[in-house]
Amino acid sequence: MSYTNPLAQKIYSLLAPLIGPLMAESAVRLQAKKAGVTPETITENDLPLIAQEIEKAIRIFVGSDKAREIAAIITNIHNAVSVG
Amino acid sequence: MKKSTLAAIIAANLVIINALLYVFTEAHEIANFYSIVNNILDALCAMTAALGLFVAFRVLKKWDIIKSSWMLLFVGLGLYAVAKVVCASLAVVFNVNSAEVFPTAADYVWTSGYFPLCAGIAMLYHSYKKSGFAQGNKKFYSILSVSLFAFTAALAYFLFMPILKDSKISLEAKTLYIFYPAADIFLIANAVSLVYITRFFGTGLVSRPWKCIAFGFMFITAADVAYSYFNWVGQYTAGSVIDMGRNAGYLLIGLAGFYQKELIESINSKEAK
Repeated sequence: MSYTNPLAQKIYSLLAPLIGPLMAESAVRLQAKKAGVTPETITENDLPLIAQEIEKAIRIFVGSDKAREIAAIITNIHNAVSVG
Repeated sequence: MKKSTLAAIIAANLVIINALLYVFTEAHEIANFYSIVNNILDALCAMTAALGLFVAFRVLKKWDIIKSSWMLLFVGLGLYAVAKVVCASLAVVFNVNSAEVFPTAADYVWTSGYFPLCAGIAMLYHSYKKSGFAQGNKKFYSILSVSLFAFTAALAYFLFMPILKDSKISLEAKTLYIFYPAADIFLIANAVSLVYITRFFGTGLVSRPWKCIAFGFMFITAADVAYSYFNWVGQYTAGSVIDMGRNAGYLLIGLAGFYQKELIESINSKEAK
């Protein structure tokens, strides 16, 4: 999956190795929808809410502490985008 | 070499040794020797499962429903391992064949292991349902429910009823003969659902521990149901395909623990980057 929005692409790239490409795409789309946007229109302001939702979802696989750490990476993913 | 790769190689070798020993001893009619070796092998496989689950439990730092689920699975498999060690001790030290003397102390330890196992696997499945990830087609769950109902009905008719009517079997033994497959049905329902769910995660790292757990439980429960039936009709042979299936199940569950550890460690390395 490839997004023109670098934020969506970064989130997808972070999640795909963990939960597989299909579920990563689905997670980006669903969590963006919950934030009232689409993957292509995700902005920096939407990241905390998207991160929070993804944290809730992946907790089952990696536990609360690791899910929180992944959420923190997503919340700050715009920094990685602007640097890289 | 990764620990999970090493564990997978050891597991595969144990299954092969199990099969070769069975074929060899069958051919040379040294079943008594094999019964002892098989008991030790069973205990070893169950201990490997408990160890793998302990590794997974330890790697999760915060106490939450996930850590609790892994802990319950560890306690359950730990009790299975204790039961297997008791079985092996009875066979090696006291020359008691637990397939012939039923129930033994091992059966009570075994039975108590079911409760944490059922709770652990149900908690994992329930947590997944709450996660918001894809649940899959509702038709699958309908087919699964109908299949399990049919399977339970068949089990009740062909296994439970004849056992209940059998006047030679004590009430204690009857209870255990029925308890094992009944608890197995519960485990298999959750395991099949987990197998179905993990399909959605493709090659994702999270899918490996779950696939191993799900297939592991499917192997163990199928072996238990077969054991209940063949032991009751007096056609069970120690170390047969039934025991090999169960041991393969234990080893898969052990592997799940190592994969879970690697999953958590992969997140640590992502953070480091």
